[in-house]
Amino acid sequence: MSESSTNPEQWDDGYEILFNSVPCYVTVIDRDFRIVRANDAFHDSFGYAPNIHCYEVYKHRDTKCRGCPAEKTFGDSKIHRSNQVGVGKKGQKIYYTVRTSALKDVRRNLTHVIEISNDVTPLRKLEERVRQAERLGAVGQTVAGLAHSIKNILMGLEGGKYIVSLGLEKNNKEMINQGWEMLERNFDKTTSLVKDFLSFSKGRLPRLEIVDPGKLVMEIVDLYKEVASRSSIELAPEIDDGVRSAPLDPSGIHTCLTNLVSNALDACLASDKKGTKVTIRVKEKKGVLIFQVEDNGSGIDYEIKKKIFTTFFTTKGGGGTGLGLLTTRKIIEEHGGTISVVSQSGKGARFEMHFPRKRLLELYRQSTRNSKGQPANSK
Amino acid sequence: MADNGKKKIMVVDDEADVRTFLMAALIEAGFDVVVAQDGDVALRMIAEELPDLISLDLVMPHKSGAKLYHELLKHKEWSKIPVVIVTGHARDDLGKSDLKDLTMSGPGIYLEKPVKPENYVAAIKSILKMDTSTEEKEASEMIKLRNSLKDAIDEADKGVLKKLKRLMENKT
Repeated sequence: MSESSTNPEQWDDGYEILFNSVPCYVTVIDRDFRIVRANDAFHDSFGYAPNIHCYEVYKHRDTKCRGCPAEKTFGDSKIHRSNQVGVGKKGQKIYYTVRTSALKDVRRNLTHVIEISNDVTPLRKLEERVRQAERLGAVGQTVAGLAHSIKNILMGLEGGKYIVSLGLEKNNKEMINQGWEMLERNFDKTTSLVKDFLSFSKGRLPRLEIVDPGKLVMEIVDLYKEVASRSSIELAPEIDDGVRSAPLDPSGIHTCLTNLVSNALDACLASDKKGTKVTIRVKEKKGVLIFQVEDNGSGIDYEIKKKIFTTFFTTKGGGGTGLGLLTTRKIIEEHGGTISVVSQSGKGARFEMHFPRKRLLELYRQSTRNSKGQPANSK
Repeated sequence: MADNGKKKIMVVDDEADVRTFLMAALIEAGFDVVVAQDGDVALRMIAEELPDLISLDLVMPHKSGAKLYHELLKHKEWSKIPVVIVTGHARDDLGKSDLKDLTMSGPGIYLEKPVKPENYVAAIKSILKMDTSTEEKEASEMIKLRNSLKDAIDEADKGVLKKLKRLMENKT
């Protein structure tokens, strides 16, 4: 390569044609972050830009962008990439992915960086539309589920009303009482449905604190040991030695464990077996913090397993609102974790919550960064 | 049929309140009633004594209504028992696929929760081809009409419905 070909300001016609014909934005910037060359595609979208700072043209800013990939390339001569949002010459938003690579002169001095960017605005808009459609779909599903729960409650109220009126007709006090109790029960169900529904719909980021997972488990054991022993169910914590503290939302995890443990106790009650047991385990495996809630109760059959994480699905007849496991999954996913279940009908079930430590740490850093400058409770 | 000449209805539902309600309505209408809280219990009871009709919920623990129904169909004698599905899931994703499987074969009808006791009894009497009062006949006809209308709306092309609505609005 001749000296002139490596100096971007002195390219000959052949390079110029090539440079202007490529179907992406190409700019060459110097160590001052000034654009010394830009191709036609760039001019068309961002406007004319000789010797102006790249951040002024790309983003209408007065200072360098955070995480600038060109700066990184000047630092280590390597290729870097990042996703950015710029402002076009008509003021429109332009989403682009940019890659930067080193441009060295004949003496191998890194004098310039080439930035090659692709406009991904149409793709972003499409993604946004898909997300919106998903949100609407979820709303539809939730409304359908809510309608179903209300239908069930109405059925109970209809029944109570009917039995009370039969009792009055026949002057049967026992029947009146029975019908009245049905009415009361179903009024109560409305209250708990509304409560669960509100707590589910409350979308919030987990409030992460460094906590001891073993301690969270022990709190749940304390909470349930009396209920369990009353039904002669053994409730056993198993906390592995290797479990370290982790950034978790203690009240969120408390809700998850409460839901899983109360389900496990219900499964034990529904089984005819003797010697039923619920184990709450916490352990660590390859950088993943794992909570397990295991029971040897009635188990879950295949058909129901397909539906348990669905809104308002319940097999507990009058007892459940069908939101427990859904809320649990939501909290876990907000922590960047996953939930799974292993079960066979009649043989008990094991629910597992997996929290990759790396993801927890990322979220923790994000949340401490966000909380700087604004109070935690502000909306 | 039970010994006393009354028809015997089996009510299968996981909710105690629903069982109590439907049982009271049926006894009041002069039926013999047995209840089961899930499909497993129901099957054991059917094996002991055949009911004349089964009133069935769809989504239940242990053995769902759909599963129970399929087991009934496998059995020569049991497959003739008429079934009334009483469900809250008729029109959502949880029950829809189950329901589609069910209505394809065998005798039966479905009712959507909440049901009125008089409609419930009328539907059962109509399936059992029992003498019904004119009122009851009307009620059961009404249920059939309403169900077929709901199905038609569910399956209708949304565009056509919108056009229809516009047309009707212009007329009035």
